[in-house]
Amino acid sequence: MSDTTTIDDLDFPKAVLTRLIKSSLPENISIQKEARHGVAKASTVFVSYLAATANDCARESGHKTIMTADVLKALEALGLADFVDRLKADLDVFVNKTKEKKLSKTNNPTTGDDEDIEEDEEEDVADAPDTLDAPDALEDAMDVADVSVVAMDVDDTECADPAKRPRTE
Amino acid sequence: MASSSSETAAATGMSNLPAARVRRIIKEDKDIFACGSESLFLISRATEYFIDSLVRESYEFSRLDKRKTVQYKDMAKAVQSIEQYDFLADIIPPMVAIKKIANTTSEAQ
Repeated sequence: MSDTTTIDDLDFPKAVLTRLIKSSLPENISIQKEARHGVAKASTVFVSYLAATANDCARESGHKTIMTADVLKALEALGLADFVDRLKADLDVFVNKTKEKKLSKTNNPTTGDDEDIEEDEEEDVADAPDTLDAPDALEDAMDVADVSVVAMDVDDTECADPAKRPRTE
Repeated sequence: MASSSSETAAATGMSNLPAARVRRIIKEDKDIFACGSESLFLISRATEYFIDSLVRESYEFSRLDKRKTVQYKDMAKAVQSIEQYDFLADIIPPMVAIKKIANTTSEAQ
């Protein structure tokens, strides 16, 4: 990690945020620049916050990798249970799409890589390995092991109180 | 209400937020060992729902003030009044009047 990289350099692209913001407001309503800036900062912090809480859930359930159940639990712990139903539906679609991609690649081995993986583009996750190999087999622990839906013995314990987490600046 | 990038994204199983960027933010946290691709997707979508919620709540305050522009102060008020947004208290603090800061400084000297 570069010493000069801070959380400030990790804003989402302005165009993406503007589009999302606009779709949450009526057509005739505008948003001040400072408020847009606030949304940008809040979004990045939210990702951190949710990931950290989900990580706590993972640890408490005895695993190192953040699983989808951990994310959903984390949202409940953060008082955002309202998101859970929609997210479960989203996840279903995502899992099905991933399966579809895999199948079509198996049937069409000559199909080229249509998806360019540019810096800010949606990553193609269909190439992830099928097996739940331990992440230490990968050089970069953050490289994603495919965690296709597996019945997890997730403990029903509550996740660590996020309020107690030291705040990172 | 303008429709949704969110609905389209949900229908296609994609997030509007670039996955690489979400992953980089998560990677900053050295306590996190690994994150599955499905979890990454969920975190991404959850962030979209969060943005939607924050913007709408802020807009409520603009409406109370009968304004057609959502201003920073609306967002700050939303952060102050909604418990789920407590974690944003330092990120979107209420604006402090310049006068107050000046007075505090001179008192300290």
